[in-house]
Amino acid sequence: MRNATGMSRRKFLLLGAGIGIGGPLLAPHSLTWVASTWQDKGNTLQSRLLALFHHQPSARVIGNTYLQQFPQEANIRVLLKHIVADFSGGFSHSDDRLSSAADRELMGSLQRRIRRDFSEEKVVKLQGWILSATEARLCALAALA
Amino acid sequence: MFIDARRIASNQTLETDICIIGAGAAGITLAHEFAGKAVRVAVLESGGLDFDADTRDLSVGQDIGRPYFPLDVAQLRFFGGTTNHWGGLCRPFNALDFESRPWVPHSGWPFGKTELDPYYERARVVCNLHSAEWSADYWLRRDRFPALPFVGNRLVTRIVPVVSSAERRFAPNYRKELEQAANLSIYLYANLTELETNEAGRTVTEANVACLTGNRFKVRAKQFILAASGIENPRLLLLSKRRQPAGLGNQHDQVGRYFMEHPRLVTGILLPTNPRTSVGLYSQHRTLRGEILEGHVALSEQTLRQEQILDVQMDLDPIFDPAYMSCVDALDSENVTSLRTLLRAFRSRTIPNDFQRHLANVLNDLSAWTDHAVTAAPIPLPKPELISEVWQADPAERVAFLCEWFGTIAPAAYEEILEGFPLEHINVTTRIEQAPNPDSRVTLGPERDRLGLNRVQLNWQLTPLDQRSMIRALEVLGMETGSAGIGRVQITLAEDDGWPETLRGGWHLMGTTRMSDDPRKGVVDRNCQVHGISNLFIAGSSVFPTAGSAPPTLTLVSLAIRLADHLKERMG
Repeated sequence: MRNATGMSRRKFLLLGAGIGIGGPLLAPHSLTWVASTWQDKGNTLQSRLLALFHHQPSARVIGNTYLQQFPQEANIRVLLKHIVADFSGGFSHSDDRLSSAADRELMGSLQRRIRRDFSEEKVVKLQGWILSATEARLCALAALA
Repeated sequence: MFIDARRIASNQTLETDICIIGAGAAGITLAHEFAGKAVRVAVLESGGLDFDADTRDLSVGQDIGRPYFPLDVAQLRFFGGTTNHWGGLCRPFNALDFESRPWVPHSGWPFGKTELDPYYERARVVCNLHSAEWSADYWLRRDRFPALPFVGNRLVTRIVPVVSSAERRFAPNYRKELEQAANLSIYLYANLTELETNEAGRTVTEANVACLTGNRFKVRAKQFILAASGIENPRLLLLSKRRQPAGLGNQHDQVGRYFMEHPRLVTGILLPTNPRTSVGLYSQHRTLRGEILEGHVALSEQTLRQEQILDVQMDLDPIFDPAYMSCVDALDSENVTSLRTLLRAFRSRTIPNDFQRHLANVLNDLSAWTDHAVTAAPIPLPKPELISEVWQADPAERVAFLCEWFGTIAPAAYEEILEGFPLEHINVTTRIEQAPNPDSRVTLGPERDRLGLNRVQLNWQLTPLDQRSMIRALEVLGMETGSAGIGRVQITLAEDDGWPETLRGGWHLMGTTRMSDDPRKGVVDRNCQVHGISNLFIAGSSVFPTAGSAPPTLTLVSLAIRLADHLKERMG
């Protein structure tokens, strides 16, 4: 059988650990890091989102795959717009409320968004893996960082 | 009574009322239904009471399509037929399986599931399945393993009860009854070579029979039933061409077409969010009360209609973290089996067979640790170097020590307490209802067997709908597991790359003499009577117009019982 993945399962497991596929999307120990940087007013949305990965190199591998498939989204602003659009908290990527949102609120919104992606079939197939469009874009964000 | 046909003198003609060709699940069921009735029945079985290589060779055929199992392995030519290697899985077809579905060409049975329901109940008894419960809800309430917590209604859990290995073989189960029934004659080593008809080709008059020892004789009967197999039934019709050059029942070129299997393939991986996700339900297992079950994930009827795909069933096979593999093997050890046997007996307040052996296994296993204790210590003390090793080991290594030092029961208990060893991932194997396809067919080839009969050629072919159904089912699984937070799915079956070599069937030979009320679209009518022939019937899964994803045995036994009822009524 042809290996449709091109990316080994073992490698994806590592990626999973990175973006929370093997565990919760926003891994608990990344919360500590987020919390420690929470008071940093210069913290951008992109860096806050990237802080959610505890294995950014892995996320970048997935992100690069996504960008190869969707080159039109190879732009941080475009990705951010897609990621926060239609958040259940009513955020937009330029919204001040987003930068002032508590980390738990941000994570909760992301998790709800990802689950909703799956139930609304807003998914992408990357090397055979069925991922929510939002989590794939988060990885793409890491790839562009 | 059982008769060795090799001792019947050549050129004799035997007289009977009903002649059944084949003593597998269908043939034995028919004989069982007629046992003790006021009708003479002759059963012609190609083999003996056990396997023999010369008879097996008669089933050899040639693959000219997708690679398939060797036909002399897929068919078992001796008393009991393929029930001699049957896995015991029983589940009725779903109501949707009987419907004519616009998105499945050539689908639809002449009747709905309600027609078969009463026969399913009788078939369950024939198959020795003790419980009459089919509902997943019922079994999930009793089972020790939970179903995966899907949130939507796109996926369902199906539970398949399994007849125990000690009770599932038709040959030992029915041999005595058939042997003792005064109206039954079971001819062993009796190979049908041709069905002869009257001049008009509308009534079968005789069955020509040959033995590998060289003697040939005839069986004259009022009714004939082909119950040979999904390969042999069409072969025998095609070989019977004395009056009808295309073969019996083949006036519309339907015999041998629509060969169906249950294509089966590892098509994906489920990476669980929680490595301790329980998937025990989806492997064959015993409930606490001893019933054997196997769970599957399937698409709901609503989803199948919406997606316009075939029925798909997904098996989830856990692949454990390699650090735990030695312990995983322990779960199937004889000692753990002995402990489970004793516990079951204890709960039911009985004494199991081989009680002493089971007890010895458990005691030996539990005392394995003494090999690692300080010799002659006043109290049981592990050797200091072992304590040091454990102290320095990581958690996974500690489990490995558990397996190394404590036999197999301790790791099994550890697994039970932790509700499963950590998973690395879960292999998803999909098994689909193959779409009926007229180009997937059995024909006669140029080679001949020892009896001078043409061997078959099997051209197993699948359609794009089969592949689309497999892939779409995985996509739905991926979305539902993501939505429920269960994990992520990878599809390993490429859409545009044809079928991989690893594709296999389920040893299920179906569809080659399909049922249809329209003679142009099928070989038999709703009563399993061959179109245009007044006294020829077919039993077995070769009459299935569609294959469902359920194992075929229960349904083919149901149809055989229904056919027996039909003939009883017809013969008064």
